[in-house]
Amino acid sequence: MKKYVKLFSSASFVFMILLTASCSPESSDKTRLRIAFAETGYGREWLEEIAVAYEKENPDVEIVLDGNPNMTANAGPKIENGRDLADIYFLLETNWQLWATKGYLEDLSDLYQMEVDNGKTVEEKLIDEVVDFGKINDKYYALPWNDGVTGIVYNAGMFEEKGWEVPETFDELIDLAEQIKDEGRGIKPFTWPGQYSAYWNFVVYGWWAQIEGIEGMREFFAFETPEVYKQQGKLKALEAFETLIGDQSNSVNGVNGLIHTQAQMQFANGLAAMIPNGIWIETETEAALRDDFRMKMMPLPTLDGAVEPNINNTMLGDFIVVPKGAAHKDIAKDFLKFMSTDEMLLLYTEKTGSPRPFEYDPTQIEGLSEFVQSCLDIWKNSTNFYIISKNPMYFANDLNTFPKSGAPYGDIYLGDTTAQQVWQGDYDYVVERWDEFKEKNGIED
Amino acid sequence: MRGLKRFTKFSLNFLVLVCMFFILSSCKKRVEPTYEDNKTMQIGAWVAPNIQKDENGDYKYITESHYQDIADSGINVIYALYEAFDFNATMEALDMAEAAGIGYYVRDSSIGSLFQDVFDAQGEPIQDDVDADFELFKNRVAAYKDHPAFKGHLIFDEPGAALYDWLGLYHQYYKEYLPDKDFYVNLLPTYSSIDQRDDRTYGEYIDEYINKVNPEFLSYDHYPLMLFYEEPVLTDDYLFNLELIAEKTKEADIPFWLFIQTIGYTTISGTQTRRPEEDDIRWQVAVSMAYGVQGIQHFCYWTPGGNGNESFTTAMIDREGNKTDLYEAASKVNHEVLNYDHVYLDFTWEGTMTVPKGEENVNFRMLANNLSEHERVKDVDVEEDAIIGTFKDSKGNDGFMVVNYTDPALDKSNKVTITFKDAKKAIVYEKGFKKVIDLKRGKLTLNLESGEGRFVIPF
Repeated sequence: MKKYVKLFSSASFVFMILLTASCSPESSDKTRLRIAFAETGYGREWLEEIAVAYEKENPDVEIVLDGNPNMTANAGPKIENGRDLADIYFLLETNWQLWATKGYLEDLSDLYQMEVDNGKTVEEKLIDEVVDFGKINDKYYALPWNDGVTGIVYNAGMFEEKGWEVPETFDELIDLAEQIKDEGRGIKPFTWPGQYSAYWNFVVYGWWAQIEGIEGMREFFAFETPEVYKQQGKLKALEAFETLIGDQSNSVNGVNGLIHTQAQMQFANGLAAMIPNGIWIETETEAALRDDFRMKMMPLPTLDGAVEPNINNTMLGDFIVVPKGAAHKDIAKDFLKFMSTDEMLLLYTEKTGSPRPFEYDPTQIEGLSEFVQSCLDIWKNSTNFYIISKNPMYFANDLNTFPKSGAPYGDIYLGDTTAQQVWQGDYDYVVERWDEFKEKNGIED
Repeated sequence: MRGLKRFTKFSLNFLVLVCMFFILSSCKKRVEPTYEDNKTMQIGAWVAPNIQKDENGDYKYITESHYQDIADSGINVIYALYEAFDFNATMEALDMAEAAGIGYYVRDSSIGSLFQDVFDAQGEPIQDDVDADFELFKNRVAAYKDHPAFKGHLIFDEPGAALYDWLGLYHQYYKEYLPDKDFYVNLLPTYSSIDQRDDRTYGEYIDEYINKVNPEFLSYDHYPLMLFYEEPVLTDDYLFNLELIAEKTKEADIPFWLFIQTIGYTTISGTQTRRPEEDDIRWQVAVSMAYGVQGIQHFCYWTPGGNGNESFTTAMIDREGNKTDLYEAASKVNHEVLNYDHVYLDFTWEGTMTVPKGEENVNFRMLANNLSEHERVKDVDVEEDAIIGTFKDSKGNDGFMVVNYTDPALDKSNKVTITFKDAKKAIVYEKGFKKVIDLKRGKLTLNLESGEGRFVIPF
């Protein structure tokens, strides 16, 4: 009898456990895919919707999102030390190449060969110019995240009201600046964030690429010799900036103290007609824009002597990686393949207003704003310029566009330096350190 | 038989003696530990008053009054920034620091690159070049090396590891000539990029610094108070960074110093830190003390100018030389620490317990060696996440730094109840003030305010 009581008790215990288990929330049976992402100007709605679509097709997967504007900095210590890892990271430009060479990242070469739609692989679907973006030593470790459109954004309503023409050449831009000052009743041609003067890279790199052409820019970013710092395109682009913004009357007073959001507010409030910026400005300023405010991106005005007049500086650099130590690497790759389908690419652009660097036509999306439409037209109809370098001296940040001066725009605006001095200074700086940089990065002759 | 009786008697007597001994020793009077006031916490600050001149050509802000304000705030060493290229400003600042009774780290561009170009192709120093630079060094520092306020040099901020051979050589000669001065170098945080560290993991970056530069102390920065759009958040790796530094410096038997975020800044890449308030400052100090920090440093005292990539809020003093609310806030916290620094500094850090409430804190998840128990602690109960730094003093007494580990911006208090083994009383330092509290069955309850930490010595 005792034995039966004992047996009954044990059976009841097992039954209770089974009952409890069956009452657990559904999510406990699912594989949780953790996605960490830099939550910046593009928001999070795009990822929430893609996650829902993926979960619908994969009911055994639950996607957990961890967004934070500071994610790029937060991710570094985790990826490098294998602590508290997410399965996928969407991050802003940083030197992920060193993570790859250190062995912290999962090899994504198999993802690049996965078939997405219409028999095309991920690799075949990527825009030709960016296929090598994620490649280190013949393996793929990263996928490009955002493509982009940057340059000069203008107040379209103001332009129409005042009868100002969108300039096609640099000379016309200078004339327009004078016209705005004459007719604008206090409106200045430009506002810009003096505290983050690197926003002018969007424009200056574009002019540089116009003069040097795509091949010239590839040559520059290959950094095979310090002589690339003698490129005339860089000097001409800086001189154009100096002519335009070295004239302090072309900017709102006190521009040197502004951060990006303050400059964007000045632009939205009509204090200036133009601002150097990118395709994300609309999402970033959405809450502050009046309903009747209209803006557009202008094709970058062409410099004299341009060999490639129709340039869009994409500022490509944001990327996606899967850590080597991630718990669910296969599902992570499957999710990234899913994100590369036409349907998800269109959803991405619809929610962010930004294209991704894949072969698809985002201009077909209905209901896009006038601003996004103007950006996508530029993206579709321009020669898109992508900064891609495979040189370890670039990964290590020893070499970049302005290695000595950093972002030189504030100093040029203030008259503390000249375009010529910046250009010569960078060249001299690199020549002096060339052998040291090569040795440090293990580059042999 | 008589022998057996005698043995029994002897045994009984012995037993009584042993019992008496244990009874007496259990009745011993518990003596309150005391500490001689002979140690001072380094409280440093980045950015001394700037070098702007007035219409008469006099330094506008390098004045007795501005330097007295620094001393009054509890800062005992101020770090030069703008004076690097202005020798007269350096000499004036040293005089003002002396008058205020504080130390001053000189930043001198004329010695900044010495010993850099003395290495041959194999990386070996060329002795003639080293000797020549050493002579230059001695000549250049001669003007101020004996100045009473001269405490050392700010040599380099956030170097990559590729500079360690140079820094190591420089340090060796520096100490030969200035043995009692600080060769001050500040290292990068864990969230630095791998290229900033010259291709080293963070652990390698720290190890190599200790091995090659052979420092007397290790200083680093980590600014944890972030903004997620308008919402406050903390960096995920604040404790991870502290744990790693605390362990490596303990192993090397050197103290570590940490920067306290006393300013807000944003960067072009989207990083947004928030401008701290008083409890944010108190929290950073308490958390770093829970890991055994022996020097705190404010970033910043004087508000620095921005550059093309980052922008700053005001710090303790604005750009025009006016005190801000952060002056009062940081001063208050500094003086709280200075009230019991001699006690705290008598203790040596042994490890840090994390006590989560509910779902584990992301900062706790990143730790590798956090303690879950301590031999002196029977039980801990918390309302919110807490950390407890564990220490031993020079006489073997236990000490505990108990900190409310919630983001101070959320303004959450935290009732922490610790049951100690073998303790009737506890000394508790609450915002710098000492209290002696009777414990019932070893139980101590601390109602920690947002951002607060208390140092506890049970006895």
